[in-house]
Amino acid sequence: MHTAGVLVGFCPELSGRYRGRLQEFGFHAGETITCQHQPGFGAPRVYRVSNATYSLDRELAIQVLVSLSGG
Amino acid sequence: MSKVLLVGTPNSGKTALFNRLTGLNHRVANYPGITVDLSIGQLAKLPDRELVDFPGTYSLRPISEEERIAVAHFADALGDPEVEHVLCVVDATRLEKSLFFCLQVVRECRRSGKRITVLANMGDILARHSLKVDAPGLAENIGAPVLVVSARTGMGLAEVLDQLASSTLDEMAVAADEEPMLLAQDDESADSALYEEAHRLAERFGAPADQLLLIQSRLDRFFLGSLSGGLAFSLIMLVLFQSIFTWSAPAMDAVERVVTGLGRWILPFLDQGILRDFTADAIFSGIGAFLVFVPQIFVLTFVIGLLEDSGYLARAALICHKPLRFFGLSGKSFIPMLSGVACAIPAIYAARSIESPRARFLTYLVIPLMPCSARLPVYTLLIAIFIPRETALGGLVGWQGLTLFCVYGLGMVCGLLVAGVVNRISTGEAQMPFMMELPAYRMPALVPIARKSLQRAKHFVTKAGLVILSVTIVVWVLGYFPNQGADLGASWLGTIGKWIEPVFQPLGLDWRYGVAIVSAFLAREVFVGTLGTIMGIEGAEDNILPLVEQIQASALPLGSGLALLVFFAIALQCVSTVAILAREANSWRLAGRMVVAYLCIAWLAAWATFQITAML
Ligand SMILES: Nc1nc2c(ncn2[C@@H]2O[C@H](COP(=O)(O)OP(=O)(O)O)[C@@H](O)[C@H]2O)c(=O)[nH]1
Repeated sequence: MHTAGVLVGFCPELSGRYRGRLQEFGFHAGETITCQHQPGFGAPRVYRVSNATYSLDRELAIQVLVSLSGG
Repeated sequence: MSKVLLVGTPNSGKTALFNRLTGLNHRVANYPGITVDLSIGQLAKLPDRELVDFPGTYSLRPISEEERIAVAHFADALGDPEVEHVLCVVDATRLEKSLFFCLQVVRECRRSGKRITVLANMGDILARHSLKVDAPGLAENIGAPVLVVSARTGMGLAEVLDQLASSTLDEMAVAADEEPMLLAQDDESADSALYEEAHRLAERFGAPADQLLLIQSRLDRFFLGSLSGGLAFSLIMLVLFQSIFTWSAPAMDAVERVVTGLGRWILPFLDQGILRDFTADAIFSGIGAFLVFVPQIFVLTFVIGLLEDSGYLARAALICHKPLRFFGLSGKSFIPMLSGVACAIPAIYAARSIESPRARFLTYLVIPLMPCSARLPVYTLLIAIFIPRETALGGLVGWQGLTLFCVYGLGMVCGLLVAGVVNRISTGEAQMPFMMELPAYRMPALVPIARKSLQRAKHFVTKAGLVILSVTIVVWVLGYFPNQGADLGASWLGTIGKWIEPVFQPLGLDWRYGVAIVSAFLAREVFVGTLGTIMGIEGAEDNILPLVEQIQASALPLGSGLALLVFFAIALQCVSTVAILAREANSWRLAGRMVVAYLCIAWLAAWATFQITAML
């Protein structure tokens, strides 16, 4: 866990309102996103961006394009 | 009276601040037309101002129904000449998250000429970790005063009041060259400039909170882990349910003792006759039977409040997401479902935070099947009658607790099944993706939670009590006349009861239970009061026996007791729930269908239970 990456953009298929909400959460291009936890019971993963943590389900997370930097 | 609006992102401590600033002086207003509860209270220190608390939103661009309503109200309020000041609460430990919203609010306030002050809340947490936000720097950049405050400790609130008291409008002069208000419109280009700005400001003036997140991350590793998280979840739920019984038992016993004691003390002072009969049957047996359950409602609300305030509920929602998804629900359905264990009405409101219309609809279907506390009096009564107090496995499990657990489970399982089936057979809108903020773990603030639970209990006594009192009086009058309680079977009530008896006879229940069930359609707990009144009329004059003993003496078969339990677990018998459901879901048809469907299922399941028990 604790894979980190830099957000490069969003999938063009992602609808505007979800993209907007993600941006409000702090998901911006250039921001470092860290996957903090992969909870049990198949629960959505927990990501840290800036000082806050959010859980996003897979469907949504795969639309957030991140370039892995390791770490 | 001039008004001050309180707005902020979810989990920024808005409610806590509202309570701090208004003290106990507030009421919950229901805005005309739309069902959104805005708390309105007078500022404790500035009694000529009213503080209006808006529901928290992440943005003025709403994506859920709850946010849409909140934003629409906010837009209205900005046009209201009585509103002169807006307080925007941000979480100082997570500035980035709140600043975007904050900038939007500043922009709108400027356009409509309202003063705005930004409150950077949770200042005590920053201070504890020797962290700082640069409030003056931030203020200069966003063009509004920024005050670091703490709703917990009261830090900085004096300055907030100073700000509100001073009426200088100069720092917020309306910028004449701005375009007209674009609230709640898809204004992406303007917004993306704001994202950039929020990000830049948070980076420059915010506090680095790595340390805070490290603690959270450790706790999350435990509470979200497959093994530890599952264990913790089961344990917490077990404690929740046990607490309903064990923690409230002494208080319930005390209430019962006071009620019976009071009855025995007062009755001899009354002359023989109607007044005395009424006091004994309707007041002490009827109302008393229901008052006993008030402590339980308090405890349940309190424990759920603790879990919510500690930040654990969001983790529980996350853990439940996948299993709930199987039934078409979402992790966000967990909180409404759990609230439904206390009462369906706040649960239906809580479902507003589910953005996905489909998951919200399915959650509505589940909520009335959750074992709400109004069922608890009925369950407790029936369990006390039929299930021995003994324990097994060396005191580890009590049969009564176990039975309660099973009936609770029955409701929940039915709820999930209904959601699952409806999800499979209905077409319609697709699910929306799941995204949720995980709030920080916090020590729960005991006093506000206790206060809220007390309010809930009081609300239960006054609102439900009024219904119960009226029903009790009607039932008593019908049962007492025309023959002064001499023969209940020949009374008006008896006649009505005999008429509906065929419906309940297949469950082994006589007309008295039929009447009690029918009266329970006003509110489930009325069942206990009605039964208390009926048995009170039947029973010996001044002998106020606990209802349990009276029913035990009447030799009701076990199968009928279990059938009653099952019936109450499933039937949708609460008029308030039906009304709120119809309003929130905006569909009387849905509410009506649910009542009919759940009644049929309840009766069939109860009948099956009775038959099976008879065969054993
Ligand atoms: N330590 C600390 N905790 C706070 C403060 N204000 C609120 N909280 C806690 O933060 C959580 C969220 O607060 P609440 O008022 O419910 O937030 P809302 O969603 O914005 O209404 C609760 O657990 C509060 O007890 C504060 O100033 N300091």
